[in-house]
Amino acid sequence: MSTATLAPSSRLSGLFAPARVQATVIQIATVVMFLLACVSIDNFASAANLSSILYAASTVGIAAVGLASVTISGNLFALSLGATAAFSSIVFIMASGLGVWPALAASLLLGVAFGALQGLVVGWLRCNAIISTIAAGSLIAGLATWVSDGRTVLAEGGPTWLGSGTIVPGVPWQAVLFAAIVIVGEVLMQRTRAGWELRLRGTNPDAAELAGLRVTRMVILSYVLAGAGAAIAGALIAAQSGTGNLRVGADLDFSAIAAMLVGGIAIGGGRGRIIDVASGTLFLAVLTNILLVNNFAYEVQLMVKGLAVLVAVTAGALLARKSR
Amino acid sequence: MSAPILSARGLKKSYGGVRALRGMDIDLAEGEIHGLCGENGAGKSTLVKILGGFVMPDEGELGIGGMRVTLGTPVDPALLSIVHQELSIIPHLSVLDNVMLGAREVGALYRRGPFRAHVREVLDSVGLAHVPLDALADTLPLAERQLIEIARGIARGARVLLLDEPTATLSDGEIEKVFAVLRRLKAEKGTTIVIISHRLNEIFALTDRVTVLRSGQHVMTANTADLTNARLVEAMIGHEIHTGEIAPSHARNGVSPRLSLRGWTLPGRFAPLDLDVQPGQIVSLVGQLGSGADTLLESLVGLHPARGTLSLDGAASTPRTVAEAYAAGIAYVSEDRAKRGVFLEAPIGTNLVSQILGRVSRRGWMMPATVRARAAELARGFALDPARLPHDVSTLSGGNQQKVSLGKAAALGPRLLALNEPTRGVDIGARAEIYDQLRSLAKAEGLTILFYSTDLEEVLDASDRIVTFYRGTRVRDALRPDMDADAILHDILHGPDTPDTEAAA
Repeated sequence: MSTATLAPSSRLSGLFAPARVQATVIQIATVVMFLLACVSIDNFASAANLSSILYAASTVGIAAVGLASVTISGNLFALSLGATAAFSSIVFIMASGLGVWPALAASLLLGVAFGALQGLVVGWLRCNAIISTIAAGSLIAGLATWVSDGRTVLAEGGPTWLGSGTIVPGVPWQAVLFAAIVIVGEVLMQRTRAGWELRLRGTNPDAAELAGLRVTRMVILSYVLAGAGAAIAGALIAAQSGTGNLRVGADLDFSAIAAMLVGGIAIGGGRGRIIDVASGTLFLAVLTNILLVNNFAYEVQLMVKGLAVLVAVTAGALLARKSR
Repeated sequence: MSAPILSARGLKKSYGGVRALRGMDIDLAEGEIHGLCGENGAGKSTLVKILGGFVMPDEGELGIGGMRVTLGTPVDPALLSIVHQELSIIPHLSVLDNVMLGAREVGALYRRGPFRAHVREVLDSVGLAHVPLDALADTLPLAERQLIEIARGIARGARVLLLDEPTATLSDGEIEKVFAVLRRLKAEKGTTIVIISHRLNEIFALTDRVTVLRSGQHVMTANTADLTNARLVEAMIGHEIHTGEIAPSHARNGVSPRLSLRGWTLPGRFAPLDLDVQPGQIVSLVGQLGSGADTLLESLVGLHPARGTLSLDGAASTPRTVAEAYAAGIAYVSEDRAKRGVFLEAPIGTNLVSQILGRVSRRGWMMPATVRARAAELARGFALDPARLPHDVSTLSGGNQQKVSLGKAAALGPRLLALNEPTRGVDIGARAEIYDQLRSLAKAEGLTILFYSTDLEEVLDASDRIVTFYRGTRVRDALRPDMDADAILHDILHGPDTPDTEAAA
């Protein structure tokens, strides 16, 4: 977390310092893998395939960026992202008659509300972060089922720019939104007082408390961001398919965790940057796409994703031990 | 001297490029108490780890009881037992289970019966005759847990008992208890005892011989009786040093108090207290754990809900949270550096400004240039290398970490600084730097400093005025020149002579 304020004496050695080495390796690996796939796999670099990679990356990535604020602030994971995304997809479709922006706002409001609720439970009442968010996930899924009557809701009218529009061939608007969120998130996390407090809280919650930092507010904020991220992800999925239902975001929780950990966010909090989340997301999206175009089955993709997370957490544990 | 019970030759160990030990020899005589001294980073811990077989040295050999020991594998506890710095007592296990923890005699099935008599005997021998075997460890005070750990070593029949800072978390009265046990062990069982301690008065009080390490090398071994405090310090740091003792600034007449407490109390912890402290005064609150002195200190920053009035420069301001205390001008430094004092995994610079983020940001945006300037200024004030500001605090030695902890509190520019154990686990060189800095803050800025310490040497070196506590009540309040170690010990161990002893100042 030093780079924003206090540049390391050498940029290169900074990139491979124990705290940054995983993030750097993943960034390089993503680029190398992408370039190799471009030359060795037919049609990999086609606009259609590139946009399918970016569609997958954008939804997972936005959820992962929100989740990262929870992890960086030292509360491990929020396990209610899938449920939030599902509810959000339903709300987005129901409100889609009013236009894309109002529908997106409605989804966002839902995510923020449920995020704030979890933030209050974890930050203010000091309940266990994992249990509270699992419980919240169940509550949200139940409410979503009740609202949708358990059925898939369908959008009226045709596809929208948010669902299928591209800025240039191969780059959907959703990817632009993802990039914007990453950049804004990165800047806020590194340059604002709140970002500093959030990260300090993550490295040592007790010391943050005793230093008089705004700990409770930061925890609530992190869950609001996680809820907002999941809600946007749900809205984007709904916009793509024109449907909203409970299956949206079924594996979003794990995908977001995977993207974040592979990118180099430390599970224990405090370490890692928002751009790392982006590189982890792209790494997994490219890897999954390569498996897909080579006709590997869904189960293989699942296994590879699981394996990638295991390798990432192992690397994280080894690096933590080394730096001690 | 007869054949040594333990003899190490040419121990070398490097971690990466860092040479922790560069050829260490040490001989221990049977039945002696041997002190091991050195600053942080001198190689004491590495030596202990090698002797215990937890670390494989690069070179060297080790004999215990006349037998060559295989290095790098845990040593037979009947030969050598180590009592570690951090207590390895499992709080929710019984005393019996804690003593038997890891014993080789215990088979695949743990049947307690056969061991009860033996463990009872061992507990009696360490002065724990009143502790039932089946009591849970967490119901015992800290000193008794430390004694259980020593009992564990004795129960294994260890011929060499190695204690790594056994007194770091104990109060002086409790330390005396532990020392009495060690002396008896030596006299009755002929156990050889090695003790590592930062507190030189303990070394002088307890040991027969002392070995000093510096930068991974053996500097000297001498009979304790032939040593002076100055000589020992010089051997540890390699040059002479003026100890932290500085002519205290005495109370001045006609100066209105910086801190005023009236009827300040936390029922059950400390009784109602009136206290006035002038600007620029350094006051130590002394008492055993549980005397209320530490709780009193913590209550000043709202860590305990004390009642009564607290005024700063005449204006009442009773803080209910640390944030309120900081805003009012009362800063606090925790005794638990790693857990609550600093952000180990964050850069030194970030740590130093972490309590003044509001002042180095504008409308929520950090101002990098201001952050850098402020951090560099604080680093200079506390003798920290400004070039290291981007590095994590965890890369610093304990002494320098403590300077960061003090620096981030001093950044607030407080009117009153409350320090809990200002130099626990800090080596003597850094200690002097810290005292210097505190003294200059008190002098130049009129900062009032209150500190709690269980280290008598520190109390006598660093304070202008000493307030002693016993079981929640103030015993005496006197200027430093009117106090000595005996008086303090008497106060905190026995309380007032008569129920009516009046405050002296």
